[in-house]
Amino acid sequence: MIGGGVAIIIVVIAIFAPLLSPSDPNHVDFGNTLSPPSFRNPLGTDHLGRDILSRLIYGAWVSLGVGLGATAISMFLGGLCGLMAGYFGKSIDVIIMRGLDVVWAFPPVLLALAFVAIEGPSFSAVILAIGIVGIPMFARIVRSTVLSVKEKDYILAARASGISHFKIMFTHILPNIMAPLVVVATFGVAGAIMIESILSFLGLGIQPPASSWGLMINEGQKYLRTFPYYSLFPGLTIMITVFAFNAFGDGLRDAWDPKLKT
Amino acid sequence: MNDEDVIRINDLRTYFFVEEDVVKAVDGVSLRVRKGECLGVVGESGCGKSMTALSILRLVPEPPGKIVSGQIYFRGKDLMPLSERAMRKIRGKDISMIFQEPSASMNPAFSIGNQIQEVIGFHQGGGRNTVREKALDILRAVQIPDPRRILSQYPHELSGGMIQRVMIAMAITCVPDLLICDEPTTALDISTQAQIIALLNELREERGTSMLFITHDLGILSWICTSAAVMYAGNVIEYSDIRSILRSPLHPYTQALIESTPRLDTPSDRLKVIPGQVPNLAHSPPGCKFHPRCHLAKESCREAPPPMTEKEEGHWVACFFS
Repeated sequence: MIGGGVAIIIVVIAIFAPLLSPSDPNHVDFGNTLSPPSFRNPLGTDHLGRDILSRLIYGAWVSLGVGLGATAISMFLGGLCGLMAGYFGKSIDVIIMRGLDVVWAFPPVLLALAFVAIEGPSFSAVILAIGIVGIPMFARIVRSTVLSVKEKDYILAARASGISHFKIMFTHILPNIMAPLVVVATFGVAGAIMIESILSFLGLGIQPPASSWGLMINEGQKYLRTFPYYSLFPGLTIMITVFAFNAFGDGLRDAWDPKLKT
Repeated sequence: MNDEDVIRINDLRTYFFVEEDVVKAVDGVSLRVRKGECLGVVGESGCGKSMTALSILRLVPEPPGKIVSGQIYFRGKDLMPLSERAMRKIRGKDISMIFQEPSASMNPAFSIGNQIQEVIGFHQGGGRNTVREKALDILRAVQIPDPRRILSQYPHELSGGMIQRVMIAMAITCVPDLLICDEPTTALDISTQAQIIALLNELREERGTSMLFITHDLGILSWICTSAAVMYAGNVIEYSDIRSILRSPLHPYTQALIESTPRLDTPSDRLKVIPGQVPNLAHSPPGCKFHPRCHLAKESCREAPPPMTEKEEGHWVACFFS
């Protein structure tokens, strides 16, 4: 549950970015470029003299926004696809799942790159692209859980009481599959943050002057030999965040799956 | 066609298409339940009892199952051509069903009150308070102590007997004409069984609800049912009022079934068993399906299935030699 704690701290930092950051992330100071960590700039400054810590804190907002936004999109659309495929089965299942297999077949970063390349790089395009990439994973998890839940006697009993398919899907099955869905969602957030960093690193994600962790690594790349702090701190931040969300997901899964408790 | 029949099943066939095989789970079943009557359907596991019941509500898992042919008349109206939407109005309102495993029949994610009120709200409508009052009334009707508290509880907090009472309550809220009970007491211990049976008996007498009672327990059959149909391998092989079925069974299978029930009043060392096994319903034997296990079987039993004939007044049996 340490992961959960760290994840919550990162979310809090992102929300209160303007209060927490020591200085303006976009304040340019040419007299103080590429300075190593000091009392005034705890993590140093970049090639334009901007405070790296402040830019990281503001970047958290972007990274988490993309992570949560994209996961919400994939969870909603993937969940809906999986629910329909699993519940109705037969040809609906085949059409939905084979369609999603096409999406699944592409490497996620490549697919997200393609979407952003078509849409043009922007905050919303990045969220949408990463969201679409995540749909098959959610659809598969939801479908397989629905397959086991729909065989339960209480679903048959609900049908015998005259309740419609639609109501059974959303009010009887959905609450019973939320636990695995939430666990997958935490992994989804971690994955989305990674992809966002990669896209920004490649220059197709968040555009300057906004700060994003991936973008900062990209900018620091040129100074890697002379001034490693520039790329190092954003890299560490991504690592800690992704790790925290993954650990959080693991913890949730262990807590909710009685089979793992021995 | 008889006006007093609540349900009349005519030559129902429900098959399961599994890979290359056709499993004939229900193979030409005809039944009737009269008004206010409780028809018991008895037979070994896998003889098609539950599938007959699910076919009535059109809840056969499809695929692989499919109702291939037959008519089901409910209050004189054939249910088979009805749409799914029309069936939904009948399920839970005109025909309700209670199941074998009470604790598995309720959704663990919702409180009892939530689930009862959903059914009442769907079929009867009404404001929140009316629905709640109706739920409390129906819980009192099935003799649940402290119904207010039960409404806010979740299925895992109740015992099996309690949940079965709740299930019965849910099934009778809309005063159905037919209540299908699929082994409602099998998963309960013996004293709870007695209470549930007594409750069902009371409901039948007070409300005049007709019942289709599926069981493999002959003791329970004699306790609650007014008539009985014995099923074997997807067919009804004997049908009569409960007295003559239990006192003077005509079909050798029914006779063997009754003889294999342990009795306390006549001591014996060994239980009688029926030799052989239930036939595989994908490759059932030709002619009378019971002939490989029957001590009366002759050559003619292999050739054609015996028709249901009325051997005594109101006592039908499908056997050449009984």
